[in-house]
Amino acid sequence: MTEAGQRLQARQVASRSDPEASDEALLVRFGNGDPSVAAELTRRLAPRVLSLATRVLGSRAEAEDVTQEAMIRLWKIAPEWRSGEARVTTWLYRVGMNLCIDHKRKARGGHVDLDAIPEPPDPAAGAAEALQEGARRDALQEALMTLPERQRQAVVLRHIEELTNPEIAGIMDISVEAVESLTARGKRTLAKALAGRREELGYQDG
Amino acid sequence: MADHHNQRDGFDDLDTLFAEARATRPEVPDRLMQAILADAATEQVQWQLESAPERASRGPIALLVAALGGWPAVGGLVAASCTGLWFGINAPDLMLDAPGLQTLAMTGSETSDYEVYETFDLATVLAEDLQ
Repeated sequence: MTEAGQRLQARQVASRSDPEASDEALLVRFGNGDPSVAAELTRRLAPRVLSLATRVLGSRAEAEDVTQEAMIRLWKIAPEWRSGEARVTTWLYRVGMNLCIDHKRKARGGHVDLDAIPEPPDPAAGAAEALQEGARRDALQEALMTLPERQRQAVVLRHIEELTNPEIAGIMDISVEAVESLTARGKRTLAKALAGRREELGYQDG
Repeated sequence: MADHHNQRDGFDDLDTLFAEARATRPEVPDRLMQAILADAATEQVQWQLESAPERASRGPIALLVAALGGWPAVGGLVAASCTGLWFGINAPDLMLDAPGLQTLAMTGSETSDYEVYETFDLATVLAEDLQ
């Protein structure tokens, strides 16, 4: 066997036995027809899309639809995945975000002005219906749903998914400065919304 | 000052809520996990189905061509076959006009249908069969 062949085989063996193989390595293996990596990829990636979509859409059922659709798109792109061009998670967040926007657009009959339209303050159709595991989490979700779409996306990506500003800029296709502006405005609005509910949410004054 | 104080409290509360939200991300339910894995399996099966007809249609021809010595050999074979076919259709006049062949043709036409039995060996065999 040639030296290059030995290196390739060693790398393949390492990725097969290494549970810490990169998302990209697993995706390439999936694209090459290896079915054994699908579960690990799903375990790593599906919760991220579900978390993002749940926060952005405010509806668990819609978020699950988006998650399944985003993963289907990941499976389809796998054979054509070009190594080193993008992180798998960044690509998936971007797809998930676009699917969320599509869901909103369909729900509103074809048009969404991402920067101008705040969510209607309708808890029955929004967060309270979807997330009922605690008053504080509902309060955060209700407050998030009052933000304009882009602010909400930026805040969720930055403060719940904990992505860096450059990553968010890549996902949302905007500048880093625009991300900083969106997250800052979003946080201010959220803080104001929550300040009036401190006692209700169990925080002590002072 | 009071507004600033309230906003500071609001940000502190917000950071706490973000931390709680990070700690309690929604879990992927089993049915969604199974649906995603079923999609993955379906996708891989489709790739196999899409590539299978290509292999089936190309394989035997490629094997035959290789067995015959590659495309140049197949070209020669086709040319020779066409020439043979053309001779079969058009050649009698040409071939019978060729020097020497005329004699053969004439000899053939004069041979009696029974002449073949006039050789000693065959006559003997036939006679033995009749007994």
